[in-house]
Amino acid sequence: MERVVARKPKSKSSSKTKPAAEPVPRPDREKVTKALFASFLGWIIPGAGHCYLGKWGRGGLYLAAVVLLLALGVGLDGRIYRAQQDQPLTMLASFASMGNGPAHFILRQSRLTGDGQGNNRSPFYEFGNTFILVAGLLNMLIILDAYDVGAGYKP
Amino acid sequence: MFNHITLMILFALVVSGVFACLGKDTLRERLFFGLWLFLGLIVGGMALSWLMFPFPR
Repeated sequence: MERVVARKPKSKSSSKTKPAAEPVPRPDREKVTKALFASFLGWIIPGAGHCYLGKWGRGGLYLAAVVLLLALGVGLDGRIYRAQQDQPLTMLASFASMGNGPAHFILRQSRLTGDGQGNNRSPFYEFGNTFILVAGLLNMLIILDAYDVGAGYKP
Repeated sequence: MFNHITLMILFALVVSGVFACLGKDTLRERLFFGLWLFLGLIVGGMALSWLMFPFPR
């Protein structure tokens, strides 16, 4: 026979208990569509999603940050990663770099980056790689933030 | 123009600025969080570099 143990109810007067968070209302379809479009815009041009939602200051800051990191990464002879089946970690790196949007695909074919290979003899090669990957990862977070702002989860 | 320390400072500045804007809502919170994150990245980087000093390769 299964044993049932009655739990002692927690006292409401305890100072440690946090007040229950109010349920967040689900955004309507129009808001979700707007948020998705803002996210897509944010992938095409970093920060453009926030600008579309009227957050011009934040959008400008995000654009400057991502473009600065990406430009520095390219200027420091960084590499634009391609996924290679024999090196699984390059798949993760390629995914991170794709966060930079169309710039990833353009720079992969560009002479600026030596067809995406970078210059591994440069003393700043690893710096360049890091800057490019972090620019992509930051832009992914910015895209998610644009969705939250568009859907009304964030101010 | 560029050396490792200036690049580290630039990197910390940009990353802390973006994270402060993403993570906090008011200007005051953003300034405090951004400053702490920036200092944490710089001090953490310097501490790690000193820890690695005995192992150059």
